Amino acid sequence: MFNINLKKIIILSLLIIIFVNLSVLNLFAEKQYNLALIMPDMVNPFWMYMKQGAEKAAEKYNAKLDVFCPLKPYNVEEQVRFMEDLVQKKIDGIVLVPADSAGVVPGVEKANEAKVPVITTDTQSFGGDIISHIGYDNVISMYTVTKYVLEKLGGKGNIVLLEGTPGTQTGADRKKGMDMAVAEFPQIKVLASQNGDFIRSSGMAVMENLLQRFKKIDAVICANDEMALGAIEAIAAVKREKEMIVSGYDGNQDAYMSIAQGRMYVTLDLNPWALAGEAVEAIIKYLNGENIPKEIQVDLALVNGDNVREYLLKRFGYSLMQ
Amino acid sequence: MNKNLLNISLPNIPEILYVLIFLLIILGIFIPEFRTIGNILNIAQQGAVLAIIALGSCIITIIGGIDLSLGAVLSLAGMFTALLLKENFNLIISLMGGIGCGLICGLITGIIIAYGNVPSFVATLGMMSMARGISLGLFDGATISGLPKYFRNFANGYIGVIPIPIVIVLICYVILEYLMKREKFGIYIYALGGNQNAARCCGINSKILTMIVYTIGGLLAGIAGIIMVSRLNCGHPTVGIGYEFEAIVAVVVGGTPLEGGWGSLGRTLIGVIIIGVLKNGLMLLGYPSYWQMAIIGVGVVLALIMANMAFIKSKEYINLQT
Amino acid sequence: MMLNYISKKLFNNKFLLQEEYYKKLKFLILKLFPIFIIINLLIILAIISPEFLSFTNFINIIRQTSLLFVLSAGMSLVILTGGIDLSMGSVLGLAGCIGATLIKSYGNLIGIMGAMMIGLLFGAINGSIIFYLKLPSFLVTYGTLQIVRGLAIAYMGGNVIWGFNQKFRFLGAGTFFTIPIPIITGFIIFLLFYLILYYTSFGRKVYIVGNNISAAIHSGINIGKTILSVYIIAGSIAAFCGLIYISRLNSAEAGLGAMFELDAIAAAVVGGISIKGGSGGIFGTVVGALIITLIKNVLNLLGISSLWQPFVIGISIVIAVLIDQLIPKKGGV
Repeated sequence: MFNINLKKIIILSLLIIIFVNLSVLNLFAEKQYNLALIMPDMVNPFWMYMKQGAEKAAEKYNAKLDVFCPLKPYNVEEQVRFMEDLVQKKIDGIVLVPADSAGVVPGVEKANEAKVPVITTDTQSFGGDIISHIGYDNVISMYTVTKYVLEKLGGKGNIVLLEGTPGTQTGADRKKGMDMAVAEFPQIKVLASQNGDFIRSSGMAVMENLLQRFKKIDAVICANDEMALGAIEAIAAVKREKEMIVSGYDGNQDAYMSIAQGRMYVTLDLNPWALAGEAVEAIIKYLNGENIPKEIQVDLALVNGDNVREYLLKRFGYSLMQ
Repeated sequence: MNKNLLNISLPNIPEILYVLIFLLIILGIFIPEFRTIGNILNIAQQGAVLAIIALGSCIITIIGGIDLSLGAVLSLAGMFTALLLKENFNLIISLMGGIGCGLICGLITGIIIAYGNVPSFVATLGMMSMARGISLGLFDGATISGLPKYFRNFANGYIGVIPIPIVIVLICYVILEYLMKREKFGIYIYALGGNQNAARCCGINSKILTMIVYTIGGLLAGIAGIIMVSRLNCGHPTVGIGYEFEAIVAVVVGGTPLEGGWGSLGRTLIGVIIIGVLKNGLMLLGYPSYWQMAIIGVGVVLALIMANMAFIKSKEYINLQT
Repeated sequence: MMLNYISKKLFNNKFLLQEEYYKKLKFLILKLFPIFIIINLLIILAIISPEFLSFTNFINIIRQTSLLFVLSAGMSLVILTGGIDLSMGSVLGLAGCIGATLIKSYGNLIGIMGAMMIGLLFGAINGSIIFYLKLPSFLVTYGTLQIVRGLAIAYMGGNVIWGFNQKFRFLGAGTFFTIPIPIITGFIIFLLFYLILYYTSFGRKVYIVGNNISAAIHSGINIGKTILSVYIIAGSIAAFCGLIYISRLNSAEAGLGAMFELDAIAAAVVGGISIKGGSGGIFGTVVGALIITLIKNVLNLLGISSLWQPFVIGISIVIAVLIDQLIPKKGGV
């Protein structure tokens, strides 16, 4: 007897919770654009900055923006699912950062079929009809950063590369950029190229191993700021800071602080707020019937010891005002 | 065949079906987008992969085991098929390759468990790591894209009004259900799960049967992997992760006890549908992904409680009978 | 012939049957197998890279082993009772994140206490659900893994917390006469667990519950308390490790600790803790942690992509358990 009652109570309470949620959430029915932002993961600060930028732009145009991230980082299947479901939800527009440029194509095509406009930002999609792409070329930009570091080394020395998550477009593109730059300097020797998963703890662990392996490293080139920051900690722990320079990529606040303290040499300001903000603006303009360019470039800049204070103010003054 | 042997104390209409119908009605009333054909088809397509894995997981659970490697095997088999397709192999050969890959993984797992006497939890944990390592390491973390265009029709095509993946699920279900009703296979499996020693005394070759069951699991994972590759139009090394647990959740929600000895494929499928419906509903309501995580986690616990109570009820009943 | 001579010497010339000699010898060999592996790995490492034999590298390896050992000790305790705790990695992460924010706002003490509370809390949740609702440990802790990870992600919201004061950093990055603190911590934990497992009634109860749970119930042991305590300890250890990690990394992020439980399980199992429960010692866990660390080191020095690590760890687990099956245990299958 007791068993049956408990079971019924559980089912009942579950259904009541669902009921309450549903009724509460259906109170909003204004006419505004319903937009969605799909990102690759929710652990990296870079994506958080993008979210902030997108939300600010949406607010400016009085549009509703929902943000979706896969549960498992960079899981492209979940992204495709989001797009399929959003199309059902009759979303007005999708801003997409593909976790994998090939894998998202089916999702984009489903959106195309339903006449839902899709804009990609930061990473491209290798198929489907994209209204526009906001971005920068990961390959060329990483090439620029790498080249800057290699030139500082005078074109020769031993370097290690910290790559991003395998199986991601971002990771693959940045590796390509690194390789391109290295190829131009025949006297540069790449001691190792290891995966750091784009996160700080992995960057630190990998760097520790590399420090163990190699007695002299001249530069550590990382595919993003988080890994660079991890690597810096590892280097500091064995007091080998004077031996090498570290470069990042993204433009995180911590990275800027690190450059200001002289611990990181250079990074690239990717302006994630603009990447997302411009995307949202572009899609709203498209929905309003305006013409928008097929490609919108965002200004990128190398940030080093000289201009870091300016960027700290510019970028993080921006977010602090929220 | 004495039907009573299999349906000892539980009613013929599964209670879980009532839960599903209730859920469908509630969500249908409050979320207009839920009711659309497009949405239903979405749920169906997205759930097909899980359904196939869950069928295998159900049988494995009935013999009292567990297979944590199904997700990783799914990815590996998918990668294999993608590789074959990319190298311009025949469609049939590519499909056979993927299915074969899954089959071999399942076979190895089965051998380790049956003849090595290793507990299934650990053996499949090891196999999961191994398969995942191969998927990532062999292709250096890259996805395999550039597959022939026609392959997408597999997952996105229809036979009549039913999506092909659903047809595949139904075919697998029918074949498996037939096997389960046959004496040499199905009854033996239930016996094996119920009481291994007694089964062995009855002359049931438990080792071969265990091996076959895990091989079937691997085979099904292979099929699921192929559908996944078709859906994403690329072979991805990490998409399958997590499916093995969702499959267990589906099995448990469907009412199959984890100790084994009893179970129903049909109820497992209902479990899969419930999970899919819940996820879809949450998504349409705009809940962020980590809520889904939390709710599925809570759902696991609740379902286990409910299933456990049902089983205890029936166990007591059996004791009374004896 | 030679074998006969050796076994005679080993067993003090006691009169044993031929088969028993071999059985005992086999038993000894299998028990010492992990040590053989370590010696092999050490030789391989020394050959591959001469730097391996340096003092700093040695300290490095011991440090990494200690970190893995502490987490694995908690896992071993749970496995000894026949269960498993898959949520340790997530709890490590959440405790680290919450500890970090509390340290930043309220100081070290509050931060540490807060983190430990998280560990205790989720350990208690795990233990209670597993014991009172009689649910399988792997499924419950898998559910907790998801929920806790989700909480960590929601809590951090993509932020990373950075920069702790020197006093806190001592825990993970400090040294005591050039010996890194983590090594000392590992040693202390080892002593603690050794005493608990072999010199307290609680330890005995852990083994009994793992070995034969119905015998435990019939002996009047309060298995509820035992099981609950074991998961609470595991949770607390996970939280403690969380603090050590954020101290070492000097930062906290939502993804911290992901997949750590796999390494912890591998270390325990490779070190001889039987996955069925009731058998294995804490020293085995030390050995296991060392082996796993050495394996990772070898892979690293060979330049093998870290992507292959899961593969190697997986095979190690399987082989270890297969070997464990070969060791005859008291009490039948």
